Amino acid sequence: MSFLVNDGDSADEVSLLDILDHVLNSGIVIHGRLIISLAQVDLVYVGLNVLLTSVETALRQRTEPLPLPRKRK
Amino acid sequence: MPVLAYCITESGPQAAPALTGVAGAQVESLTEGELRCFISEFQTQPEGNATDAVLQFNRVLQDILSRTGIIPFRFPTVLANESELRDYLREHSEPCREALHRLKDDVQMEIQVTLKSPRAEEQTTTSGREYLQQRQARSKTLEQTAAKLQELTVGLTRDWLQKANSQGLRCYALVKRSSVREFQQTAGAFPGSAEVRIRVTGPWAATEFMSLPAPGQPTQP
Repeated sequence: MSFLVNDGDSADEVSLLDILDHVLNSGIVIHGRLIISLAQVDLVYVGLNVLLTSVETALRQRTEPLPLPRKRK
Repeated sequence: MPVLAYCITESGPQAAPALTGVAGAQVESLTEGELRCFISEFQTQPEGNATDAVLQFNRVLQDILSRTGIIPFRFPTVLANESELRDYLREHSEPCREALHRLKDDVQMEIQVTLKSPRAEEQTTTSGREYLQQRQARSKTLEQTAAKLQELTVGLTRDWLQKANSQGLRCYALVKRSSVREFQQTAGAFPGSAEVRIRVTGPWAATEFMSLPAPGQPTQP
């Protein structure tokens, strides 16, 4: 058995994969917006509908049924 | 100014800890009702690499988790400004407060149970039936191991969940913060077996035991 402690100060004891798995896959997801800068100039706001996730989570979600589209009145 | 959101905690009389976040930015807190959210200024042209950013993000979460229960944001959750974050906290205050109150003293320990040679038997199968039987046997071995682990730690866990994944079986134990060391010692004393590998990590935020609002979920009336 390997026992890996995640205490923040000794992150090398928990693998980077463990940490990535948690910070990318666990927690609240909200749609945000981001400022794109070019040459130190803030240009546009874009809707952020991109979600970083692990391949395993993405594949699992891919196999789940998509919600049916709502009928327009 | 864009902000990177780390986590939500209950707001309390205690002062927010002074922490350094991603890209060396100062971690600040904002309070909205009974919730406190930890954020830092987000550089739209960040310096450094993504790995460092992830480790810094995790360090902040772990520091706050060592003091109180948290609801983490996925990395990287970036919002245009504090106002957007306040809107979110107002809209979802009820489920957040409920989860934080219920889990304020708890953390999540994780146990990954895997077979040491999961593919070896598959390569020797001669029929579909044999393959399925071997898969069933492997699944049974994993579940029996998880059941023994659960039994061993039953006095230390407040709740237990387990999910099968491509590597094996992943178990989530809800453990009181004050019992983490005892859980480590107890789980560490598990004898294991020649065919199964057990890997324990934690403590983590108890996200598997929360019902987090889904992205784009409409506001409750």
